[in-house]
Amino acid sequence: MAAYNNLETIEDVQNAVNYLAGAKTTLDNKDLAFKCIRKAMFFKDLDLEFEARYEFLQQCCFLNYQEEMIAQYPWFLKICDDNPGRFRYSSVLWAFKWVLNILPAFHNVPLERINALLTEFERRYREFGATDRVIQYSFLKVYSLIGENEKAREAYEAYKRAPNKWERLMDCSACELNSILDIYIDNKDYKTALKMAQPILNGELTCAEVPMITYPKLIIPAMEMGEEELAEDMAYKALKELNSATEEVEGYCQLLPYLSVKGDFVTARKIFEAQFPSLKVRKSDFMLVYFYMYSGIMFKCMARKDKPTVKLAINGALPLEHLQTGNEGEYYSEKLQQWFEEMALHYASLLDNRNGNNTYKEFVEYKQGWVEKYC
Amino acid sequence: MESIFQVNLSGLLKVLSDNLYSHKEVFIRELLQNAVDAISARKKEGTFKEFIEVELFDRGDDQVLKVRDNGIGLNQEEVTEFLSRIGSSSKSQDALRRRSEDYIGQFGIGLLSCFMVTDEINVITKSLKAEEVVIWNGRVDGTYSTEVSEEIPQEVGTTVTLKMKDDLRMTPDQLVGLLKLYGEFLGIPIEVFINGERRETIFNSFPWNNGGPQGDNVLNFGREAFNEHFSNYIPLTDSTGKTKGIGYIFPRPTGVATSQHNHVYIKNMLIATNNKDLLPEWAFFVRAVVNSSNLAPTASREDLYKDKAFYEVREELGASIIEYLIGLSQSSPKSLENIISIHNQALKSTALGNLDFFNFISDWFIFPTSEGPLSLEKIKKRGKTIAYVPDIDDFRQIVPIARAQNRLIINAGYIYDADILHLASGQDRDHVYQRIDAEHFGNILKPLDIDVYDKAQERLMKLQDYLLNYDCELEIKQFEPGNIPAIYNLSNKKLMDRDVGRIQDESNDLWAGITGAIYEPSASFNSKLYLNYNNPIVKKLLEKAHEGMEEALIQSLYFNAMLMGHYPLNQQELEGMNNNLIYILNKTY
Repeated sequence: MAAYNNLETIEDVQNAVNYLAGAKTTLDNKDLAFKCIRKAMFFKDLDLEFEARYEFLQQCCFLNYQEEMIAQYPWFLKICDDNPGRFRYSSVLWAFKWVLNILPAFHNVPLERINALLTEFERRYREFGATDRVIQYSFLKVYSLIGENEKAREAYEAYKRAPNKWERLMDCSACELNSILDIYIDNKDYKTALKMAQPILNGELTCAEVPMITYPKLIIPAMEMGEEELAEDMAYKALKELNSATEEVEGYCQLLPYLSVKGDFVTARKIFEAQFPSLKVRKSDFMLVYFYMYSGIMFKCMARKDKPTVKLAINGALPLEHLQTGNEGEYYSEKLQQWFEEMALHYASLLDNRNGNNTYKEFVEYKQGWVEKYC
Repeated sequence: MESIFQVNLSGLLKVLSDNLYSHKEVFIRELLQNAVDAISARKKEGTFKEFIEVELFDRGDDQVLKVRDNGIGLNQEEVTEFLSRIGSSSKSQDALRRRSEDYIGQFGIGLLSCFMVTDEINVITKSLKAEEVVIWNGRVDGTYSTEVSEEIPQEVGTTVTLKMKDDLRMTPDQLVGLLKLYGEFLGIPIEVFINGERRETIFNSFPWNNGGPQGDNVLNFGREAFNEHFSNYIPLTDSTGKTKGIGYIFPRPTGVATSQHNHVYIKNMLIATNNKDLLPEWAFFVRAVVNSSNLAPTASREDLYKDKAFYEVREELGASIIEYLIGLSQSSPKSLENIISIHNQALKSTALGNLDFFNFISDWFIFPTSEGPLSLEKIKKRGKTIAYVPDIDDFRQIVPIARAQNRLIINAGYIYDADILHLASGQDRDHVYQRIDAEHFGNILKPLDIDVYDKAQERLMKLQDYLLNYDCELEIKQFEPGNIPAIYNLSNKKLMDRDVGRIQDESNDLWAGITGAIYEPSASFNSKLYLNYNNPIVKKLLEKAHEGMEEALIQSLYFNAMLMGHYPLNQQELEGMNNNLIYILNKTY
């Protein structure tokens, strides 16, 4: 029996790091990766420390431990700058995209820092030989997240103008298309979004995450375009693909409106109960907006579909005692709806205040209004 | 200006021999393959008694190998098409494609592999549909000659003759070994002659043919194939029935990093003895021998082409393994228990990715516990709460306490165990799964009575001062056995905070600012020392002051607890330990 936690020798650590390179992302593997970092430091083996830290970075990234991932990242840049050519700089630059993609989701990172980071990102990518196809693609995602629609549009145009040829730091085609869809979904151009998504929907473009993360985001567009069967099919496939992954808060939350307007509150509640504990360890405001907004929609549908009360297994993890009916674990749906809507708007306002616009508030209000049509 | 590539054939042949094939002996397989294809083609025209003859003989100073079949043969046009062109026109591509549907050979380059062992290939062939005999001589320098004769007496079929290179001569045993390796199961008898004398006939059938696999026969087959004494095997088949075989359960524990070494036959011809991926990754405890007619070989015919059919077959063979284990739980639970005890790790890995399999097998899994290895079924019978520690170092610290309290604790620090128990907690509604990390110790360390606790607080604060240099927080609990004075715990979160802090210090303003904005360090001490109120030393220390001695004593408890938990002492702690011992010695003498 392999005891990867028993890291007595440098070979043990190497074996554990090798194991992590092919292992799933789990909390235990994340802990193991951190243990490997400490042991590699103890053995003063910088190369091993690099590999251990990279495994830890990946575990954090795919488990959505965003703060820890961002806090680790500067180590990689420094070690590569101090030791040119020694470490896998392309992998380090690759991870820069992860950082860049999530940083705007934290309201307490000021815009100046985000802009400074974009400059740093562009400098390093250009030095590495990346073109606008890669750089502007990342820019447009950041600008979308901070509600800079005009800049996002310009970045998208620059991205489209860049030669479409393969380069080292490019996302895979499936991920790239999946991200581009957001532009059309955000602009409510659902027809184009669905049309563009065809290569993903018909299985031509897939990767480790696509279509798993694509299905949920296209459900509302499909409903809006009257494509009921497509929406149903995607909801079913999304549930199957997500496979109870607790790190996929965003994907799961996007399923809540569909399930709720269809009256499948059993599945919706199951998702809610499974996902909310993971929010305790994450404080990305963007994620919180999603969670509270879509949960609010679920409770709104319950209230409107003759479910004035609902039982929830949340064991005091959310401060909702005042919304209980008097029966243990039972809550008033309408009061839950109000509370969750307020929370969604609260986190939306934090992001909007930082961004100097109303993007998130309008986003929340639109979704809240959208559901009126269906229940 | 349009031009065509100039091909240096001798160079190309070298590339083929050096890079396409992993070893020279594969030329035997290519010759057999051609013979089998020719026989298959003739069978379509009518029945006949097929044979392949292989003869090794000395001719003067030379060693000659001759392979003869009574297959369909080639006419002059076909000789030009298949023997004399490398790459070819669309017409020949079509011909090759048509051939590939029926035969093993697909690439028309197999014969070229003979140039790895000879400088000249001689082919004499007579087609079923032609009167003439065609003689073709190909040479390694890229030249060839074709001669047609209606005079030479030759039955329908093909004879390939190779004069072996001097340094590549074979012994008769080597030849027989290679013929058996590649051609034993072709279903066509291979007659072997050495210097004109008949040596033996090579002919065998797979053990899963002839009415299905049968006990010893199958196990012997596995022993010969893998040089292992297996005691369990699994009939393997895909949904089409076109891939069949046997999976042998490895008789010894295997690790996740263990490579598969499957033997793969395509249409009865051995393709690989070292296939690493025909079974799902989790099936590393199984060695398979399969024969397939729906999988395709790669160009070198030494491995499998990774197409849709490959992945379907792979999944279905995996399902065969799972089905077998489920069946075994009813037909022979003891055998299953034995397999699980050997391949605990592999099966746990499988179960994590397959909930149905997990629900079937999880109770059988063995876990190391404070009372030795126990199955989850037995652990469940011990009580409603199932406590597990996901870290081996933490387990080492907790185990004596658990034993003293007659508590059963699972050591879940080994790979997959914590994941398995976490998954079980979601499936098993009858038990409470308590993950114990050393930061909280679950309910193993008991709280003190509030009056006793409050009374000890003042002393505790004083003792706490002596550990501030080590950034260690003191806490009082009570637990058995009483001879353990304290348990040390290093907070993972705090360690991470320190790591992040160091990175932040070394980062530029931009990154340091970003980390500062999003990362929230915990406000706790670096480590924690749980004093055991049931221990007489601790009790004495907490009851009254021991001026001049208590700093050395509490710090000694701290070092002792660290060492008990297998935590290394840093320089400061080593010096502290030595200074304390010297201090105590000086006080005593």
